[in-house]
Amino acid sequence: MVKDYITPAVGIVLVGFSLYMFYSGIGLMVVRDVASSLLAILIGFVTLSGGITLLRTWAIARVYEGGARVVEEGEGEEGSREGKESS
Amino acid sequence: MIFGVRERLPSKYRIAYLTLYVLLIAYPIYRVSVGVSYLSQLYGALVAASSFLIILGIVYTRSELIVLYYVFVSIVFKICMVKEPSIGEFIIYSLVILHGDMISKILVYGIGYRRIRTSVKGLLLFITVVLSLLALYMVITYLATGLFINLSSNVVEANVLTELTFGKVLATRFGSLLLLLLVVICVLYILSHYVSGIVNDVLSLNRAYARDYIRSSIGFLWKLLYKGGSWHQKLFFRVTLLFILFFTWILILPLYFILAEFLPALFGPHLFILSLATSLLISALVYTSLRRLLSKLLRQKASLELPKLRLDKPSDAPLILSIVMLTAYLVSLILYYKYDYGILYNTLMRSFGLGQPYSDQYLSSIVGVFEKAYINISDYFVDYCEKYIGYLVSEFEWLTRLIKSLIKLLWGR
Repeated sequence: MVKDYITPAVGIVLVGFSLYMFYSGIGLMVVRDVASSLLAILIGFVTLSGGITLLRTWAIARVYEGGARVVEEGEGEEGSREGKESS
Repeated sequence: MIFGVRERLPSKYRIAYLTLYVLLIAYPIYRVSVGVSYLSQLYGALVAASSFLIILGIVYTRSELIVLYYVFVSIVFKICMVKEPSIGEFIIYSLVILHGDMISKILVYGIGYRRIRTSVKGLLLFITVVLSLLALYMVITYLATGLFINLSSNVVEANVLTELTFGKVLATRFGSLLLLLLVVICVLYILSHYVSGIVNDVLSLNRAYARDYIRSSIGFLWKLLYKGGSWHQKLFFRVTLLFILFFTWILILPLYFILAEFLPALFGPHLFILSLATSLLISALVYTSLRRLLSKLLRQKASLELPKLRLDKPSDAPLILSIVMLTAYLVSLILYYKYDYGILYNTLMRSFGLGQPYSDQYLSSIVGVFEKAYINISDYFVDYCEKYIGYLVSEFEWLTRLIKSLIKLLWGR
């Protein structure tokens, strides 16, 4: 149960961290600290895309799990119906 | 064309059409023969030498050859004659517009298609191009964001009203974060949709698909040339098609004029032939893509069917791209600081917001050069836009004059 929420939590933390990095990058850009600001922006991009990928994977996995559960339940119902008919 | 559909034409139309056609052939020949004396020797010889196309066209009953001659002659006259277009030229152009078979044929066989190489060398070249594009993109984003911040602060400070509204919002932490968020979303959107889209497309694009797409696009236009049952239906389709091509040509030609300012060798018949070929390809691709899109949209589906949820595997392209960019940047930083890891550590700490910002004179001078170049390009860009519009206006004036004279010619005063 706890494991289910680790992935989205990490994703949200990464997205939040990326926002902080972008903010820091812009601040450094204004004072012309070129090397650090570019580094901050690139780190921001990596964390942002990483966070979004994690969140998307988690969401899709959940939808698939839901779908699989529905299919399993459907198959179970059909199986029991067939059993009844044959008896 | 006329010879091809002759059997299907009613006799009264056939005689009228043939008379008109003979006149259309005879008069321009007279005009051309008079006009040749004004041409320089080389062009005169070219025009005279190409006259055998008419003979061939009449002997083999191929009207395309006659049209080819007119296209050639009209291009030569358009280049050499500075004076107003004559009535002969109008007839030539009307012929060109009404009988587009040969132009299309020349262009289709002439342009070929861009070969997409799948060799290692081609791939390396492509990756270099993409990486340099990305670098350019990053530089532009960096400069544009800086300029945007400067401009917004200037605007906010200059006007009392904006200072009262936007200024107050931007001065707050929430406002600046919102602005930053908007810029970042724009950048990420472009990065994930366009840059990685281009990368994916080109990596997954194979030669056969590109070839088929271009071939089917041009083939579609080619089929459109022969659409319709009777000759006047065909004429309608051809005129429509030629009209589309002509407009695309007019939109593209100013770009060639601008290009010809840098490459004077482009002036001459190349200018018109190249621009015609490009415009045919572009109009074919745009027209067929639009048609495919529209037919997809117009296809009716049962409304009871629920739309399926798209569950694609999330694309890793943006993540991989950003990691590659970060690695490349780190490597270049290590090389720039000559393996001094202390400075690198300090740079990293500063980027996390720990430590005092430090402005490297050399790097900021490089950024200054880029900034200046960017502003210069922006200034020149306005000039080029104005020039393009100027050429476009003159081309459209020429077109309206042509159409007016054509109407006068066909319907009388």
